[in-house]
Amino acid sequence: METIAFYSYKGGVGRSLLVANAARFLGMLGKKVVALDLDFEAPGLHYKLGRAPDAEGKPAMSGGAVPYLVATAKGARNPPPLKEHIVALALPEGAGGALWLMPAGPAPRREYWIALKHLRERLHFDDPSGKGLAVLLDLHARIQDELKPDYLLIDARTGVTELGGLATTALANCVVCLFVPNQESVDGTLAIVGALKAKTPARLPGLHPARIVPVVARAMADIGSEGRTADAIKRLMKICEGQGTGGKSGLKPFLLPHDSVLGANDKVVGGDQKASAFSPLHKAYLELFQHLFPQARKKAEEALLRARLSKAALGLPGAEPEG
Amino acid sequence: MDINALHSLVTGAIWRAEQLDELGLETAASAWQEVSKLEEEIAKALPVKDAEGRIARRGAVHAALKANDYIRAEKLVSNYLAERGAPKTHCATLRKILKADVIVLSEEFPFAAKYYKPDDVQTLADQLQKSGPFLLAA
Repeated sequence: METIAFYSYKGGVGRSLLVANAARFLGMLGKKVVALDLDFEAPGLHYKLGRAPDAEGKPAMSGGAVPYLVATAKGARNPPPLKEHIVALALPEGAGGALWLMPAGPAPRREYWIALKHLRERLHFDDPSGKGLAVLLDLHARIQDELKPDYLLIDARTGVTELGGLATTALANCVVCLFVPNQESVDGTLAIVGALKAKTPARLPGLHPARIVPVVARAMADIGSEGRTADAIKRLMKICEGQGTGGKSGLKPFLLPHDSVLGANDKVVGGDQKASAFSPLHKAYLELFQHLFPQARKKAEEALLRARLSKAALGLPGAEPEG
Repeated sequence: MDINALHSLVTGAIWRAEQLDELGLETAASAWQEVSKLEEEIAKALPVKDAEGRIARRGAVHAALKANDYIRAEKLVSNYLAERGAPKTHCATLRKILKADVIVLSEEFPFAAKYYKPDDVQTLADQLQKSGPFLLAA
């Protein structure tokens, strides 16, 4: 199982939407994927993957990562069934893969915030006894053992938090770092990437240093090559050792252009053959996914080629999420 | 405070903490903290050469662990190991109490135990406690 954490130093960069699209993309390419929402303070992955509460506010499911961690906070010898906290989502016919969602919980219902309060009381991820960390590692290991997914995609908490730190350092093999091209966002991202690439990062023995893929989000135009922000981005790319576009040098980060349709409406692409436009954001997603998922590269290339040849490509903006 | 009064208080505190633990109530942790502090007071009043003094020291560490306060437990052990005249067997027992907590960790979290050593988990957790998320404050 490859674990990829999607992280951003600042919020509002389209991180959850990228996680949802990546999960669905992999599912459509025949991969088994689990999407896990660890953004406990502002959970929303379930909205992006078609599990929003109904018109009366009734949640699509009552389980999720927060209720699960509360239930196992004192030990996981008799853990609750995973199926109470993870839901299988429908994929288009013939997709071949499998997609599961473990939402944070039934947010924004009151019971979710009560569960989160209990979690904070019972569990401290930096508790030096290791119990807090063990609870999280146990969930990660259980997903690996019971669901056997090819990929676990984590929507990690924004900013500098214990859980955001653990998702990127203790759980992930790969970290996708999203930022917007302004000084504040780039400087913060540089600090985090520097910590992830430090000589003694916060990692468990046996876990290889994470691959870090910088991604510029909500880009309105070319990010330019001069100025303080551009210099900081160059430093970032140097630290990330070629995890970008621009050939072997890899000096340019992936760019996700602003897309008013996908971005404003939080749409998930993929699986819909009816739409007639091909979004630049969708194209950028495909290019990024080619890089992120080497196992799926060939199929992604085919999809990209089809998209270039015909505008009736796989999955297009405006498609409603299924499930 | 008189040692007899402390003994009486700690007996009551242990009973209360055990009852709360059995009921699975959140307040059990703070009840165990109280036990740990009372045992620590008894330990201060009795020298390490005294058998009761050693029992109180071990009790203070045990109760701190029951309260999930590993930092306090570690600190108490470190202080007690440094005491002059502490018998070797007593020191070994104190170390074992901390070590037993590591074993509990692997029993309580069987999925994680397949992939990670409890010692490594504790080391990382300790690093995070000291240096914060991403170890940015290191």
